[in-house]
Amino acid sequence: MTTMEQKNTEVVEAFIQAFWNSNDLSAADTFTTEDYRELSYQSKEGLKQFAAKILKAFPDKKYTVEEIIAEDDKVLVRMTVRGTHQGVFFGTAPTGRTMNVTLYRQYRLRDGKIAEHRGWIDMVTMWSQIQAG
Amino acid sequence: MSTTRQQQVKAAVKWIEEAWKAGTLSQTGQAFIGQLEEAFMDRQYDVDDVMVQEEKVIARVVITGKHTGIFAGIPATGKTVRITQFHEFTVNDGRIVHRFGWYDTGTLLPQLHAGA
Repeated sequence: MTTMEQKNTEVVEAFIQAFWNSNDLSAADTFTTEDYRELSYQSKEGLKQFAAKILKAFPDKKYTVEEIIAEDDKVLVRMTVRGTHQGVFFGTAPTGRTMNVTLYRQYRLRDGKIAEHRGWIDMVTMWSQIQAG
Repeated sequence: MSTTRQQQVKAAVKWIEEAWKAGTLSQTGQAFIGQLEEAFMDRQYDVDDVMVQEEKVIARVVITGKHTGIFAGIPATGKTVRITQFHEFTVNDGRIVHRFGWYDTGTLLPQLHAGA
């Protein structure tokens, strides 16, 4: 593992902690390049809007990194997100049920900053957890 | 002799090919697998990307298929969709261990909903 790959891993871990767990939405600006490419939420603003939406729906949400690997400029991370459905989520009223869902996020970094993000999440399992019963 | 990156990638690609042929590539343990297998026909797979860090290998697979049956409450649309999978392995000393397999559904559902 090169020094750059080690550093990239640390940057991604710090970003996940700040943005997804400490809910510091400004991390979407401070951790990213000017020409950041957002492949899942359209833009930096779209990313922030999604994070705000999921925080309202799951105020106690917590992301845990389960696996993380780095190669060249890429960092791939598998996480689980757990939380209680306490606010409206995509039109679904709060059910008080808990979710425990797996997701992957892939980042590309340049000079210690995040230049690109793309994400995958198991929405079918998530919906079945919050809607069931 | 240590295993090279190329050998690790080859081992992962071969594992995926064999699992595909055996019909077990879909066995990720997710609750909807039975329904998914019945809802998408004419399936084909491609290994889209492989990442390696030391003994860890993660492959991203894309399965294309035609939506011909009910999935997650959505009736057949006849659309051809791309479904993403991840497979995690440990590869060292020529030995491969499959540690984790997973279907993404977050990029699948919008393909079933999109357009008319």
